Amino acid sequence: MSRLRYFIALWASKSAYILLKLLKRNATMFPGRVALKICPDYLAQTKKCPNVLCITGTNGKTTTTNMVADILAESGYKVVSNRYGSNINTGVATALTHSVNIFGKPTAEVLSLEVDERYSRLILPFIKPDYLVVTNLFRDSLKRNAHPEYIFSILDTYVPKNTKLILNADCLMTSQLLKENDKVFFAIDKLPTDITECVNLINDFSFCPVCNEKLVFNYLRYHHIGNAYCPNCDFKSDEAKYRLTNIDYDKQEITVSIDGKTDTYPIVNRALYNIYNELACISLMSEFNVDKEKVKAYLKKISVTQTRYNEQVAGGTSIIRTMAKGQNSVSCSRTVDFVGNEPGVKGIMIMIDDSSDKKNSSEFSGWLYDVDFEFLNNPDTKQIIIAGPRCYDLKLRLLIAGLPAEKLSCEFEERDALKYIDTDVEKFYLLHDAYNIEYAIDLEKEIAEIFNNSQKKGGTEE
Amino acid sequence: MKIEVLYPEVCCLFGDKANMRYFKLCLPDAEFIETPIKDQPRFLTEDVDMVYIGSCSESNQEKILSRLKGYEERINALIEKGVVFLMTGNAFEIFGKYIENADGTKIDGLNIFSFNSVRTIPARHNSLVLGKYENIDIVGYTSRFTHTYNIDENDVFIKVEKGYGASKEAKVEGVKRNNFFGTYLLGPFLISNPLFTKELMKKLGVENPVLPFEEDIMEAYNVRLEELNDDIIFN
Repeated sequence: MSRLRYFIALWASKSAYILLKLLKRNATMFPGRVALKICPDYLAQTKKCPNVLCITGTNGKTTTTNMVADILAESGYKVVSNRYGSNINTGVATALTHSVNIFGKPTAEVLSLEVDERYSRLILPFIKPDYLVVTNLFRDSLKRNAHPEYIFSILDTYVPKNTKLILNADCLMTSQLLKENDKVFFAIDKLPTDITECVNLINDFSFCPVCNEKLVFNYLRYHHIGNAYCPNCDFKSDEAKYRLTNIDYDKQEITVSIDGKTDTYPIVNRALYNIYNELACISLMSEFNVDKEKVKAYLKKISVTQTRYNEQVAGGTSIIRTMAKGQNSVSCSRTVDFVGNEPGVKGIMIMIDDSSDKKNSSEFSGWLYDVDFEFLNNPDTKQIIIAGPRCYDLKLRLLIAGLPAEKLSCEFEERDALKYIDTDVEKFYLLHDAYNIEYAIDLEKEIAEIFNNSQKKGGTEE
Repeated sequence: MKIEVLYPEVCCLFGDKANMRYFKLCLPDAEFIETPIKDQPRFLTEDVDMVYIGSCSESNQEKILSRLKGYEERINALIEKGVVFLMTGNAFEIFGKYIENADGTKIDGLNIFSFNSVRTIPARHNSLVLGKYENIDIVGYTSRFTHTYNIDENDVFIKVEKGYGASKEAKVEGVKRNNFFGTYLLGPFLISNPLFTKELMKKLGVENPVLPFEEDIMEAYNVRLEELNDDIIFN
């Protein structure tokens, strides 16, 4: 009976997909929702591909999953991934529908899935991944994810015991996961820019989990990302099998040591958090025995997806649009840190308000006080335009961060805020949320136009 | 003036740290002491004017409760004496009779107030809140795994007009006794509620409190107040 129900669910899910495609609608969640409605244990009932790889964690899982799926496809594997879909149970169910034929037989060799860390309890026990990468664990939306310890407890409880883990040794929280599972670690060796005392507002792993003593960091990168030991007991960071030993920004290369043997790979993106994603991808591909030359060839030709980051020159000024995930204080801090440290006189426009709350609610803005906006407080920051309904909250936050009031402009409507742009800068950054990308891309074009026009005017006047 | 911030390394979720950061700007001459979890609270051995604890995880909540156990008498004496206590998020729960886990087991609290709290993990309760303390409009946000019951009517802090109270249905929220203020509202509570912050400063002996960035903080407060008075989704 339960197999019959499964097949009805499978066929209904496939039909729903075809119908949505004919209607030119997004078909990433609904087919899976149909399947789960008909057959609640659809994830468990579906016969799996011979290889199941999953990627989870607070930040970086989409980027890592996309890289993994592409490399596998380019290496000749038949891959099914949820890269354009949802990473919760319905999205995974949709991916499973694609991974089998109408008789329920797997048609792909590899199932490569991004898994939402909070939803992992509804996914991982049923799809039983062979490998699971955990990129990191940080604070995220307090509404959904509460706090990192809660997410840790979900993963620690629901990841199957036979799953091999690929963990970030530099994330002290992630590396404590599932003591009994087979696992390998990846890490980035000490860098010249590293420190030993945290300069971020939040560090959720600063004390020894065994004896409460303050940890001593051999190196600290940001928040709790680093290598530490307890001066009072045996607790220390785990040894990494995959070690990034050097970053050469001039040559755009990283050196990775795998069990003592070194090799170089192209850098996909300069931001350190993206280098971690790349290292996670290299580690997983190595564990999965993918030809490293194919990995290198792929990394050489890609860049981080343009929906999240784009750079262009307009009127002689670099216009950079980059995502700063709203409600995710660490992700936002990483972007703010990156922008704040980039050389050159800059203008910045921030539009990170939650688009859903903007329509019919009033967004909680406490998370802004976990974001390191202090990094923007330097002489190179010429102006900051704050746009969106929470502009007064963010203005206050920036004032408390020490930014002078005369550098700040506020506007409720994002498009109206463009009138404040000062074009006399070397770089202009547009920081946007994950849920207003399309709007940000539109505004990016208008911003480029403003800079192009200003150059024309400047040329005439001179 | 001496203000003790208890366990800031773990009681710092959801932007709560901003409260004392802003209060330092409000009270530039005050001494702020940050006591880590491995140390004894300073209020046990010396006079302090105020104690602050912010939001924390459930396991850290149990840890800080165990650190304060045995000092109930001293805490009661300080409350009676009028020392200011401010607890944001789930910090105030440890001052009740007990915290009940989802499996029915109970963790004894400090028993300073008569209420009890019940954990509902994994069900999380998120809500905007609009309420009143005396004649001050209070705005804020709660996000938690717990509800609190049996708050004595003499110990109520905020009368809730919209959003969740101590439980989803409750019209009261938080506890107050003398100058002890405990609230489920989390994050930058003092920044979100400038009029309450002035009240708190008065209780600490500041005669004519002036807030840093007063014009901007009042503008943000008034915008928020207007929004919460509109017909919007609270939870």
